[in-house]
Amino acid sequence: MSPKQTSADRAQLLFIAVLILGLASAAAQIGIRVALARTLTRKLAKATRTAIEEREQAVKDSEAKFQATLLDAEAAVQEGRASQVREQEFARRQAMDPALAKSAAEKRLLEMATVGQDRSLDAAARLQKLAKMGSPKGSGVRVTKEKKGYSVEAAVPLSSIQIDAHGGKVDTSDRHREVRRVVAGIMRDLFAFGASSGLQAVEVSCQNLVKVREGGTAQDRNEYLELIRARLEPRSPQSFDWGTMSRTEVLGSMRVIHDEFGRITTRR
Amino acid sequence: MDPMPRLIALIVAALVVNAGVYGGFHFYEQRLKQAQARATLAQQGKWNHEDQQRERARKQAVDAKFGINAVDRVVNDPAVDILGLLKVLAGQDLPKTGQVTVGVERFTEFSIYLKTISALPAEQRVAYLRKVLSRINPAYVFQVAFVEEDGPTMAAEQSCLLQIKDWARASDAAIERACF
Repeated sequence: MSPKQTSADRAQLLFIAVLILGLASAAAQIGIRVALARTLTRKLAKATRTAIEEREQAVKDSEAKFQATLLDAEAAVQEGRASQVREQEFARRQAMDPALAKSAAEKRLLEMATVGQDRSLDAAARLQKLAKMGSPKGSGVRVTKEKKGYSVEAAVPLSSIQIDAHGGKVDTSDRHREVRRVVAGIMRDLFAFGASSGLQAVEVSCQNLVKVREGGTAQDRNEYLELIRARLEPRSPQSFDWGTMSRTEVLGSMRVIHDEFGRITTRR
Repeated sequence: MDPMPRLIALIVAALVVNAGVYGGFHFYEQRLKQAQARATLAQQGKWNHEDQQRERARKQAVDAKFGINAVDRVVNDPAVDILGLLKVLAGQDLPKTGQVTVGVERFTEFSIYLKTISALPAEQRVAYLRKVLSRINPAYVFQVAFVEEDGPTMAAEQSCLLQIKDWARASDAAIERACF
């Protein structure tokens, strides 16, 4: 065999070997890729199945919850639960649940409740502070020691009583109504937070500042015209549940000493 | 003939075939994933739509259990608080140009203000009070004020409201006597 023939045979063999290797690698590549593609298809199909199963379960659960809600709604109507829930809400309001305090007046009532419990002050100082907090700004307050406890007097200037007419016109009747409510509110709040401090009586007056010019002089003199005076002196203040007592009830039980509004209120 | 070019051509062909197989399958896998994502999205959209419809139907079913009309449903629904209930009661069948405000002060004093351009006649005020107070405990209502725009206010206060024992059955005359 000539060396040229030998070299040709070797090249032929090498070619065949490379050809086989190429085909084998292509076959292996196809095999691996087919396997991977099948795995992916299975994985995706499984994900779809799982999602559908989870969805069916969620729908089933929500349906069960809905059926329970439906039964509960039916029971709620039969039991009159709505009115019970509202009674509970009203009781929470009477107990001044801090979660329900939204307005400035409600927050002030909560502060008064804290002062009413403050044992670092003596009873007279506590009542003085409560009377200041419970009366409109600019009011004068006086705490007097009585035989069996304390009495509080508050003098409220008419100008400190704000009236929201809600788009209407404020007339004497509106002012009279609001003044009476403010007076009742002071009394109610003082007893609610001060009865435990020995408070026995509260007297509230409302005054209007008028300028008086005396004959022969050029100067005006300030005079306070008392428009209303009322007193609340319950027999045993500590035995009352002041928390549930409304201003309406105080209005019904306070003694009106005098009321000038009656003279100036026009009849509608 | 020189065998080298044939060999190189073969190697190149083998590489090309491998690359083609790889690229083809990669493309196929991407298509599968995209198709899956599209199907999932479409399915989710369909489910969301189904959920919305179901929720609507369920809400209607629950509402129907609470009552046949909007007011009954609110009155019987324990989830509606006193203020929410009063807002619905005070807002029903308002007179023309009537505007209503409902608020609460000092925790327990719920007030209704009905403002109208001209003063409401007594029978309308009585009908309004009856409509509101026959569906709620009158002890919750501090006052119902009838406000005439730029005019006087007529307030039916709690002490008067509580005089009526049965707001659904009381005569108009009794209500008028107690409240105005």
